[in-house]
Amino acid sequence: MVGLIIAILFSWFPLGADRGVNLSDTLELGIVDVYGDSLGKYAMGQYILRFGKESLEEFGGQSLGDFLQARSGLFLRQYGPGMVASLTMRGTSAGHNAVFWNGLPINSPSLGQMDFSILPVGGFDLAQVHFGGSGALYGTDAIGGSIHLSNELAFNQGLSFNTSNRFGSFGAFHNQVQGTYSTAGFSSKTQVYRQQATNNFPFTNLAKIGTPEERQDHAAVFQWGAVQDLAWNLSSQTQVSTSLWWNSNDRQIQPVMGSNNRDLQLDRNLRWVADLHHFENSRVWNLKTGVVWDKQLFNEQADNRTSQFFLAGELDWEISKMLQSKSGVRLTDVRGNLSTFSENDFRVELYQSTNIRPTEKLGFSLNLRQLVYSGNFAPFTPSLGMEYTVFEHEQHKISGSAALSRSFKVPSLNDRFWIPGGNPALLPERSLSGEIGMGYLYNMKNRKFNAKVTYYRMAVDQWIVWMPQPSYWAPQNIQEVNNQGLEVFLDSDIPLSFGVLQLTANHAWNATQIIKTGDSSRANNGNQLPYTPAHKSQATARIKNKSMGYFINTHRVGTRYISMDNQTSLSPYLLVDIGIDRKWSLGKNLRGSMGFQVNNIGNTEYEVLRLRPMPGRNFQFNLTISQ
Amino acid sequence: MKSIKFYQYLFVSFLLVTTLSCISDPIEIPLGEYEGGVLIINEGAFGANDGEVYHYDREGHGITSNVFERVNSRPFAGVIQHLAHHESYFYLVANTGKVEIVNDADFVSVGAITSDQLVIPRAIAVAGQKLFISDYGPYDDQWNNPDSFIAVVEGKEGGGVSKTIPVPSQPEGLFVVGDRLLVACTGGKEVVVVDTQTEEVVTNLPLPEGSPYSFFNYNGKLYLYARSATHVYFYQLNPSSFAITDVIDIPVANSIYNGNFALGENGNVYIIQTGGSTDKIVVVSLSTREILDDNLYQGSNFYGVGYDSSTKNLYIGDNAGWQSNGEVLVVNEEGSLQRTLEVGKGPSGFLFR
Repeated sequence: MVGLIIAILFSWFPLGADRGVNLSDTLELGIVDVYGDSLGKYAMGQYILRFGKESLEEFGGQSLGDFLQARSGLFLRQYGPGMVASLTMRGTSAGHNAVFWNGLPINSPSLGQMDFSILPVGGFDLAQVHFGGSGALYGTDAIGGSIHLSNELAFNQGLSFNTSNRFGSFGAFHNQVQGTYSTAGFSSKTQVYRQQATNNFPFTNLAKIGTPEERQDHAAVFQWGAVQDLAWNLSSQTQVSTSLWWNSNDRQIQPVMGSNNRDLQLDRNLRWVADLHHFENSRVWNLKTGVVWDKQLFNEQADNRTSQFFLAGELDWEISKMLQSKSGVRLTDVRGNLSTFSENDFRVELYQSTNIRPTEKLGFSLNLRQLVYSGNFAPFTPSLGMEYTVFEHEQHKISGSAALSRSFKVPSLNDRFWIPGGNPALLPERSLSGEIGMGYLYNMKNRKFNAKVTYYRMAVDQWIVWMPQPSYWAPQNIQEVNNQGLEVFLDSDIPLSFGVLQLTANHAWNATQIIKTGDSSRANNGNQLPYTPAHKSQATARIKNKSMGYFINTHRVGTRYISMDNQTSLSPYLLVDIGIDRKWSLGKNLRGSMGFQVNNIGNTEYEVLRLRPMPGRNFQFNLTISQ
Repeated sequence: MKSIKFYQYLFVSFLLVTTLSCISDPIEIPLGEYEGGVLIINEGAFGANDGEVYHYDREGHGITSNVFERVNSRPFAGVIQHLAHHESYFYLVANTGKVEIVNDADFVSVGAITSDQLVIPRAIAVAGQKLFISDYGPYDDQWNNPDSFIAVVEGKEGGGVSKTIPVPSQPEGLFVVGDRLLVACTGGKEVVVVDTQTEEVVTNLPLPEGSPYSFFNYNGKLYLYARSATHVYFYQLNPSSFAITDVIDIPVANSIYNGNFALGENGNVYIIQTGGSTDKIVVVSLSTREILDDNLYQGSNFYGVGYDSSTKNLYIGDNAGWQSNGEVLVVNEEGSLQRTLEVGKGPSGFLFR
């Protein structure tokens, strides 16, 4: 009953693997046993790309950073395999994208960004990428876009177990065990994972005389974690769900070539969220609370800990077929105990989202948000999005979209309070962005073709940069950058006599124009931001049938400049991965799959960041067993 | 027989002519590409290891970027702390843990020190056939360096570290006098004297004021440069006992923390004074023991300074706030800008040839 209500009310919530979503082409309906926020509902005019369990499973034992680098048009600045990885979206910086887990913002409040290397894909079931400024929908940090991770639970499925095991080159091992149990009123899922990699891959040491080939040293990673999801249907109208995620990551920091550093970093993350949903005829009430606790210990000396406590309430209301509304408030208590300071930050956010559909073909999303942090008003943040079905006939549909949004980033705790240098008077960074897009959908039985093109422009100012002072560095609101770009998404299913061919392709063009830098004496106007490739492309072809699966994946990263002046750059590189997977079953209850992958089959020698080598050709075996 | 004698005469004549011609008209060996001009040390950014050497041709005004990488087809891959010249070699010390050795004429790599025993090397000196490298050693949890040392390498073309000599915290500049090595220990605020033969510390000389950075000769006398937050100090040392014989104490506040300065003519010393958004070049005199000009030239992000005695120009390195590559401002002794050179990341020092 609950599922049916939700399916009717939130028909924009998509299911299925790896599909882009915007309101006009979200046609999939499904019964969601445990309610999840309908991410695209109030995001008309913007694009959401989603990766389901099937895709994520191919990256078992690896991080979300590895996944997005290989399987999307997004670029991640990776300091080595398993090392720090930060995301740049639409030419913005690492702190200009917001990351959520089951609706909780999990960016580090001290660093103001997320390290994507410590988000193992085993920790969640669904990853969605919201492209474009979305501060009015999500709050701070969502200047270039946002990433949403969530866990999925189902009712009435009984008992099941699953184990996934992988081993591969350079000491890579991954084990994951999952058990689920559910009745009509209760659901539980428990996952435990552990993974490790020595990362002793061969590389050419350019820093040494004779450029000898050596094995990478001091780059080992060990990670383990556990996830527990629980949900109860208290009544036909009330549901409670909660998730707990513990992640532990120990790593040797891979030194940059030419350095002899032996740094160690330990990360511990505990995230807990609880939701109460109450469903009425046309309304959904949500009470959400949660905790995000992060600890980072560097070289067993610099101990940095932060805690975030959340309490939020929200009403999502379908007033009529033409009018939908979501109103909410979120309170956040941020507490930082860093190695050089201890400070708290209390935040209050009020937001209102409204969907207006004057006709079936035309829809608008209007979002408003006001955040107050430590008594300071962040910029008032509105956004307006529009989608219009230009043409629809039988299997063909052409749609247009447009969006205009303001976003912001509250200065991080380190920016404001780090000793020495922190500046409590810093202003929030802010952006204004606009985009237009066209989409084409062809859908006939098993044959499908979906294309989406988006052009955007964005201006970011009050950009915070740490600048040298006479005796230490200090942050200033000093940089101004204008960006523009084009994003292309293609997605196709082609039935074959022996299965189905799935093709996906992404391309991102991000041209950044530095208007003002921290160095006032020099004009860098027109230069591309460092480590922001103008072009990133990715494509996957996958053939599947009942028992076998084959894939080939490639991604190409364009030229990256290493500093503002654009005088030195890293060469583009292209990587190709291939894999084969066979499903098997034993008796009635035991089934699974076994597979083999070759990554970087061309053994391409490449660096994402200068002097930080990455692995060449490597192999991976996997075995999953389900019961 | 006649024929043989003829050829003998011819051969002898050829030898004579050849020999005489060599004496009267010696073969000219062209200068190496980097035997003239100005070598600019671009320190490089922390964590990026993008230190490099640029070359500036005074006559043609051409800049050659990334000299090390250009010649050796590989990046320097380090943060350059010190460039030392000894006989026919340059020694490039990277504080990221290595020393590269190149020919001084063409910059071709001839050796290296890449021992795991080097932690944070700072400077190098050659004594006889040995290399001595000052090294901060590892940081402790209070960001101090209690285990600083001098590394000894047998052989001027590099190799492994044969011995480490513990010294007070944060050794920087080195100076060889006879068989003694002087070590300026910035953190420990003392000078250490090492016997280069026995490789033992023989004397510790605490400084009354300031932290020591480097040594230099002026007017036949040995000086030590030291600084504090409010003053700069020039200690004159006895060349035998190394005892302090004189102190020139000049009130220059906020001299740059890396200890960079340049010795000009007539005992004029050029010092970078940092001041937030505005940095200045202050000129002090070892002769009159006072400030000659408290603002010869001003700008921002000053990081290195050098004096070119052949053109009497001052070279000022501007690190561009570490946001991009830097530039060098060429300024004459009157403080007028002569030229601006686009250089690498964090120009910190100069070697004039």
